[in-house]
Amino acid sequence: MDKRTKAEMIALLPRLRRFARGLTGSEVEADDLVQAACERAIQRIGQWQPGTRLDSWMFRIMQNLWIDAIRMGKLRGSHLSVVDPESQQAQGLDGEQATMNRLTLEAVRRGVQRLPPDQRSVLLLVCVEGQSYKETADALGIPVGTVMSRLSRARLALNRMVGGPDSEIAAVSGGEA
Amino acid sequence: MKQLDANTLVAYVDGELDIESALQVESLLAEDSEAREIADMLRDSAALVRAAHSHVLHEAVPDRLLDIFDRAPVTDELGGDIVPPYLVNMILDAPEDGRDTAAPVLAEATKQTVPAPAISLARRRSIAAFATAALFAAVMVGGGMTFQKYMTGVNQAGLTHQAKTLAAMDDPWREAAFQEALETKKSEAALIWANPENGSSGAIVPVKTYRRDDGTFCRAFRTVDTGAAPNQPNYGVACREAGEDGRWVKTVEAISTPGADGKLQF
Repeated sequence: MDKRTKAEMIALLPRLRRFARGLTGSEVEADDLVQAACERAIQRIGQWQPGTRLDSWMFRIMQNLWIDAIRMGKLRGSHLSVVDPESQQAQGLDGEQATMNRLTLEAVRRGVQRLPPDQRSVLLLVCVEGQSYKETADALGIPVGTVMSRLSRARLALNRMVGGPDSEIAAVSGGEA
Repeated sequence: MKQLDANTLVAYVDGELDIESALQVESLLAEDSEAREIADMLRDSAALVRAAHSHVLHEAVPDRLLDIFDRAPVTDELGGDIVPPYLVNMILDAPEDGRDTAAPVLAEATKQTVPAPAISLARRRSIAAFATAALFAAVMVGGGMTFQKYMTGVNQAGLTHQAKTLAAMDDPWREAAFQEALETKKSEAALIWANPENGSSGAIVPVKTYRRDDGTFCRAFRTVDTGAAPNQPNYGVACREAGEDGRWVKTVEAISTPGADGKLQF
């Protein structure tokens, strides 16, 4: 591995952690996943084509490790991430609105964790990590048409959970957690 | 919603359709209020999912992840002796083993040469200010989704401008990280920054420390930047200028790419 690639991988760490957190919903499991993905990427750096996107390649490695871990029963596949230092500060800014935002974002994170794994990873790659449909299809080894259908199903389902009549927000504010 | 299926709509909302298909979808949307509602919902859901995960970018990367890269074998010596000789009077550190003690040496030596480096506090304040701004932005996205709505009408001619605007959004983060890295990081130690508003991130790595014959300290650095436009400089030299309140000012910038023989090309 050359120094440029190494520096680029280090620069990707915040985004790799974000993707892993969205997949697993747990900080510890997410960092375990990032660690495993980085170790594998370093080991197999010869397989990466210079000039192609390093982030897409690493997302693919992480996605494969995650699916393997779920299949082997190492991950429960669904968690709830509670820690949100950002929103705690936000409460001081504008009480009611900030609380509403916090609840909404909390409900969204919950909703994402309730999606089937294959919809969850497509949703995170496209909507959070800004990968194109083509890059997402390559990362997951599925056709672009499948990316589109998983993506629309995931977003419709999320809308039902967060904004719909049987919304999750009521459950969250009711102190279910 | 008769002629529009959810898959086409989602591709339209995500900007994945070619311009012709996008125009077709828009004319159908104009006379289909149900489809417009679904399009809005698809757009809002993307913004919400992004906002719900942005806080991870604020967190410090745990040491155990950085340690993996300390152990990783590195094959080439990118950024060797490419500092123009006229700039360099004295090489303070020549890291044979990839590590050095330049930063402490620099800090020690500076006590005598540069008057009171009062920049430190100001710099911390500015970083805190950016963090607060980002916080506000995240809350805005979670609440109103105005940014996404604003993005809807972007046509193709506007996209280049949009990309430039987005790259410029990173400038405060980039600059704060740049000052922090050159002031506090040892050579070959990376400082990582991330802009939670748009997901861009980068690293600044000081690679060598020098002193000009007027006593000013200069450091060569490399940058990696996921948010930058293509063909931006990724290597340079900056000096801590007394006339600029001790801020690090870039004096040389270059694009470096390793050639076939592993040597740098400019």
